Parts: sequence; structure tokens; C-alpha cells
Amino acid sequence: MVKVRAENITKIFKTLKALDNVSVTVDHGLFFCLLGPSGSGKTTLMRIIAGLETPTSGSVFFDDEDVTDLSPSERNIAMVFQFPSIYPSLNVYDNIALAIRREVKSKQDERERVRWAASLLRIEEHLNKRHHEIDFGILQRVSIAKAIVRNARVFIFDEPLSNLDTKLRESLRSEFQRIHREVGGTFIYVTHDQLEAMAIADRIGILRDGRLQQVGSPDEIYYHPVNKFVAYFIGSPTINFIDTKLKLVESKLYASVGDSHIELGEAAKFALQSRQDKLENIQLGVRPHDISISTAPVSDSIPCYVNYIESLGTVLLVELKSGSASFKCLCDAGLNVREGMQVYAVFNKEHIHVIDAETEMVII
Amino acid sequence: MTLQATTGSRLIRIFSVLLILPAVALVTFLVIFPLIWALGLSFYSYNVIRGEAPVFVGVENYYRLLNSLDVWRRFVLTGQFVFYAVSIEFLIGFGLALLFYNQFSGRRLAITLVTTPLLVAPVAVGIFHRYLFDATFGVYSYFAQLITGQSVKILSQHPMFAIIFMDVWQWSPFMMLFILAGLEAIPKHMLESSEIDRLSMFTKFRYVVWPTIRPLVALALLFRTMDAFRTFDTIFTLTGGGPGTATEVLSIQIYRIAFQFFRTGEATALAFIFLVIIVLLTNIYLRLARRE
Repeated sequence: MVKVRAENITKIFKTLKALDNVSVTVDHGLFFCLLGPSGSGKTTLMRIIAGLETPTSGSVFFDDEDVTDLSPSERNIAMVFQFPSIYPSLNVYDNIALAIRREVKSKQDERERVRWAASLLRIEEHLNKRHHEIDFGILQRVSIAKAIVRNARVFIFDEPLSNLDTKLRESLRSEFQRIHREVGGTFIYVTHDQLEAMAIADRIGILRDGRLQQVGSPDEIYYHPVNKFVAYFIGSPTINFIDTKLKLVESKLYASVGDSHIELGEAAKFALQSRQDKLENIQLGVRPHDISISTAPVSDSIPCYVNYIESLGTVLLVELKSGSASFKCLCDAGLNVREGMQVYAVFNKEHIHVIDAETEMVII
Repeated sequence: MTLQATTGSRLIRIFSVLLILPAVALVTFLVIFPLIWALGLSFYSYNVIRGEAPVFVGVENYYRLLNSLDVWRRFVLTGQFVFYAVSIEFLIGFGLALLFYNQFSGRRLAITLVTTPLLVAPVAVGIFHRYLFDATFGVYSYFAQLITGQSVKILSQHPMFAIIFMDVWQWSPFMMLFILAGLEAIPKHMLESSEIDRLSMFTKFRYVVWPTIRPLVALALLFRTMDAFRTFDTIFTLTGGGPGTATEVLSIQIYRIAFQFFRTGEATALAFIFLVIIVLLTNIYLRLARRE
């Protein structure tokens, strides 16, 4: 396993700037997710790290070795594509064995490694089958086995689950961490599915329009997004953005929500002190999980009425309205709320983000 | 309601039969009937010029043809022509397809230029190759002389080479188009995957390229083999089967028996033997193409 370092990568396709001066480091043995919406440049960055694409400028290092000009095979990487890459004329065993033909010393060694990979992906019973005898989900497992069986320096996954149906995707997703532990290599995993990234990655790099937005652990990215985009992209249901006005009254900081106010914590006050004059054009970012509903008034709550209820099974996604502000919150399905009802929203102050609407940066 | 529905559907059925009737009639009278007539004729001794009544001779025509050394020689000759022409077309077509598989500026124009021989009428191909091969002022003869240092009369000294060359000139682009279509159907991620799996050129070809292009290659070979077998016009206009009978392939021999010697019965018998061979070849190729 190696440490992968991409430095100042820029990639221009004819007139399109796919990557704009992106630098990212993936430490030894880490499970790193490149996350972003389509067209964000995540696949291009991954292909540049893999050697399938050459950057317009910038370099790629494996440990301290500059590999920018090396081909994928010279870089010794293993990769899983969006579609199964199975050689149709070979059975599953030979497909996996072909990938390590240059690495094994003996037939015995080959057999052991193929069996190890097959058991890791739970495809032992399919080893003698051919391409047309197995379904798509198993084929993708074979593709993954073909990659992890290698003694590769980096393992790269290009949205390997995006073409599977939901059930298969969930079952494979839950196995990825186990696979990573067993293989113990540096994993780079590209996905547009934030749930997938949050579930399996050690660290996540978020891209948007060819620029790296934030790199961090799933928790860091979820609880401390650096900007509005990251806050919006991560988390389901989506975070609420509420236009607000800030006010300092008797050294306490209040933020308006619709017709009423809530008091912000000390941390927010501290962070906002440096920009005293610019308390306008501010938004609050609050995740639906961090808003609870009370049917009776409690201190520091916002009176509002229920505009719309969507049932998500055991929980309800409730849209609340207070004056001009509307926001969604999650509450227990057991709670007796009806549309049009007057309720009181309580914000979890620990997790309120204050966002500069102009620069879209998260102030706290 | 039910009655109406049945009448309606019966009307539609009658109408559809009426619609295809002209085509069926045309095929029956112009293709199927003559074919059966010809099959019958092949068991008779008949000369279309003399106008005498055909004499039933049973399988004698077939017996005589299959035992004739002359006919066997034509078979071998035709086989050689088909084998060399189609093999070389395949190799050149493959080379061109690999060349055009890469993207480069002017690629589309180059493909158009390379495929123009396909558009030339066969008789024209034969006639202008006669000029190109001409011993005194032909361009090919000029180059042959430059290379070998002596005057070469290609058409009289190497007539077989001449007809194969002409066929290759016209039909290699056809092979190229098929193989190029096959190459372009290879999924990109499979090529990249084989690169990442560090497969050698040969293994890559065997496991990634060949399985995808095989059906198209089989189809191209099938078309070309059948077509080369029945080549008539180009060879007839270039050499007329000569010198002597050096390039007299089966189709030209059938023509000669039928329209120069007017042994009509014998000619139809030979044509039927010819047909059986082509049908057999077709089956072999199709079987190879379908084999998984």
C-alpha cells in the first residue's frame, strides 16, 4: 500500500475545465471516497490517479515516486469499473487467476489466492461458472475479487455499486469495510451517493465543478461542513437553510426565524464577533434531525404550524412554517401531528450552522 | 360483437394475404420455378441451340462432371482464388481497421477514400485493371519492372496473382468496415481493465478483442467467401478466364459450358453442385460464428 498524493491537478478537455488545481492526499491504507454530483470531476480525478487520463498540469505521487507519466499497469493499480469487467470466454476462477498471472509463483499460490478472494466476496460456489451463467450482482462481485486479489499499490473503485439494484447495493456496501480490513490496502472509491460514502469511507473528499470543497472524516463533513454546498450535499433528508437576521441584545445573540427569535450559543457569538458590522445576509443551516416538535410551548421554541407531512415509515418528515420561514424536521411517527396544527419547534443549538449567504461559507 | 370481431380479423387476414401475394408470385415465377426447372434440367441432356427435346439421362451429368479431371482442376483453381483473396483481404482489412480505430484528424475523409473501390462497378474494375496490368504501358507492370529489374507480363505470366490482386483491391475495405464496427463495439472499460490487469497484447486480443469482433469477422468472411466463389464479372473482363484456362474459375466455366458450348443440362448440373458448396460453406461459417 502507498500514500497517494495528487498535487495541483488541472485537467482541461477541449474547452471544459474538469479539474481546477486540485490537491489531495490519501494516507497509507486509508479508505478514501471521492464524492460529488455528476460533472464534479471526481471520475476524472480518479482516472488521473489510475493513469487512464493524463493531467493538463500537476503531478501524481505514489509515496515519493512521481507516477504522472506511468501507465496504469506500470503504476500497479487494481481497479473495479462501473460495469463488470469479466472476460466472457473464461470462467470465474480463470478470470480472477488471470489478474494475478504475473504475480504468482506457483499453481498452489494461485489457487490459494483465488480462493481467498472468492471467499472474501462470497462467490466460492460460482468459481466454475461462466459469464452468462451468473447474474449482474455476482458479476460485479467477481470484478471486485479480480481487483482485490492483486498485490496492487492502490485499489480504485469507480462507482462499483451504481448499476446494482437497491438490495444488492446495500448488501455489498455493508461488506466493503470488511473487505478493506482484510485486504489492508489504500482504497480510492468514487461515488455520487453520499450515503454510500458516509457508510464506508475513512475519509471523504467532496468535489464540485472541478474544485475540491472539503476533505475530512464522515463525521467532520457531516457536523462541520465548510460551505453551503457540502452542508447541502451531505445528509438525508437535506439540511434546511433559513434566511435570518442576527441581533445582539444585552450581549446575547439572537437569530430571527420567521416571526420569532432563537438565541444562538456562545460559540456562534464568538465566531460572529469579528464581523460585527456584517450581520446581514445570513442563513441558518439546521438539519431536520436537529429540530424537534413539541405540542406545548417550551422555552426558546418557535411557534409554527404544520404545513405538510410525509411519512418515511417509522419517522415523519414534517414541514413547518413560521411566518416567511419554512423548514423540515424529523419526528417520531407516534407523535400526534396533523397538517394545519399549531406546534413548537425546538432547535438543537449545538448543531445550528451560521452561513454567510453571499460567500456561501459556513461561519460556524 | 364477437361476430364483428371475427369478421374484422378475417378481413385483415385476407387483406394481408392480398398484400404479399404479388411478391410471392414474383418470387415463385422468377426464382423458385426456374430453380426447380433447372434442377429437373440437370438430369437431362439438352442443348438450347439445337432445340431438340431433352433426353433424360439420370445422374449422368453429375457423374461425368464429378469424374472429370477438368472440373476438379477448376474447383482447385476457384478454391485457391477464394482462399488467397479472402485471406489477404482479411489481413489488409484488419490492418486498416486497427489503423482507423485510432482517432486522428482527417480520419473520416480517409475512410471515405479507402472505401471508394467498393463503389466501382465490377466490369469497370476488370477493364481498368486490364490497363493497369498491361505489359507495355500498365502502371503495375511499370512498378513490377522497377522492383524486379525485368519486364514482367503480369497478365500472361502471373494471371492468378492479377485476379487475386484485383479482388483484394476492391474488397479489402469491405472487411475493414466490418472489423472496424467490431472493434468499436468493444466496451471501453474492458480495454482499460485489460490494461490494468497487465495482460499481454496477445492475451488482450484473445480475451477482450476477439470475443467481441468474432461474430462480425465471421459474417464478413461469410459474405466475402460466398461472393468470391461466384465472382464472374471482374475476372471475365480482366482475363476472360485465360490465358488458356489459367484463371477459369467455376463461374466462368459454367458460363462457357452454358453459353459457348450450349451444353445446357451439364451447365445446370454444375451450377447445382456449386450451389450445394456455397450452402455448405454458409452453414459452416454460421455454426462457427454461433459457437460459444
